[in-house]
Amino acid sequence: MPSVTSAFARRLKQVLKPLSRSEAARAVKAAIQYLEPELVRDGTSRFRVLGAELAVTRPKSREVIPRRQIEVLVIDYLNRRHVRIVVEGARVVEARTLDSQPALGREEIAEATRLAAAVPELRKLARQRGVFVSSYAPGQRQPGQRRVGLYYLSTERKGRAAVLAAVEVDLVDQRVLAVRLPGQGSTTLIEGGTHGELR
Amino acid sequence: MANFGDYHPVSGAGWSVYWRVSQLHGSGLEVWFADFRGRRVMWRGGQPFAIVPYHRPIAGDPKPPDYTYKDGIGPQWGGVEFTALKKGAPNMWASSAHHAAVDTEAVEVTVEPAGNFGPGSLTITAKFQCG
Repeated sequence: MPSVTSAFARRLKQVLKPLSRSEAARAVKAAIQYLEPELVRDGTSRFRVLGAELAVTRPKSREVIPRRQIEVLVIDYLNRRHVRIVVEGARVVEARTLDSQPALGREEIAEATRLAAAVPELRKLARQRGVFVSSYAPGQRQPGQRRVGLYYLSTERKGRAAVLAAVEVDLVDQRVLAVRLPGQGSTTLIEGGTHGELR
Repeated sequence: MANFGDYHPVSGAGWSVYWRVSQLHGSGLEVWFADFRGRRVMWRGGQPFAIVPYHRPIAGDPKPPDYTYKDGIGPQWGGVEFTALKKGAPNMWASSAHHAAVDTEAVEVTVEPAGNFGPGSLTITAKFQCG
């Protein structure tokens, strides 16, 4: 039986082989070294690496095999920007500030949950049995912003989830902007916070 | 090998493609390098977001003037990112117990041979939830 795979796809195997942990770690290290001078302001820095993954860019010619590159996403909270760094081997070949919002990282949701726990009602709610947290995007997120919306949900018997409360957290300023608590129809702003729209 | 983000080759019914789910939260199912009978027909395809307009908003949700959620990549107006679920997850707002631990838990690939009444098919299916 003739192969259904094109010669091009067969040649891609080496490019597309799974990213090893050491390869990812090397790429992250190279990206941080490259960005380091820009990450520090007044002797401090606050940033988070969202992760490293294979980046395949379509070459201009059909015959050219794409290079094996690794994309590292860095959230620079201090400078209010998200940066995409592309590493090839040990060399940075592209560094670009993103206009879009990268997906929230697990650590970011955990940090938002910790910040939300400053509200006593939410802290109490989170401890209840069967309550879990799910993130959403509040309002229209602008480049450089990093706002996380959190629902506090409870699973009901019929498998439906009920929204018990919602909170909006700003990871750049590390504070709670707005909260909606059980039995409370409207949104309450925290210390004059400006927020999107709690869903 | 990473839990998410690898390119997985599959073939059948004359097709050869790679599929990928780049991350647990905030991605979607991508199909790369689709060859049909050895000929490239698609570089990459996916459905990374969904625009969900509400013709009858419920108690002001979604908010005016658009009455719309944008879910998936770059969610807006109260929208949420896609989360990869295990293949057999129930149709509900699933907690983390139903989240896929690795990409292969989220994706099912089936190959149907050609029969007397229809062509063969290669189907790649994945289950995601908003949130």
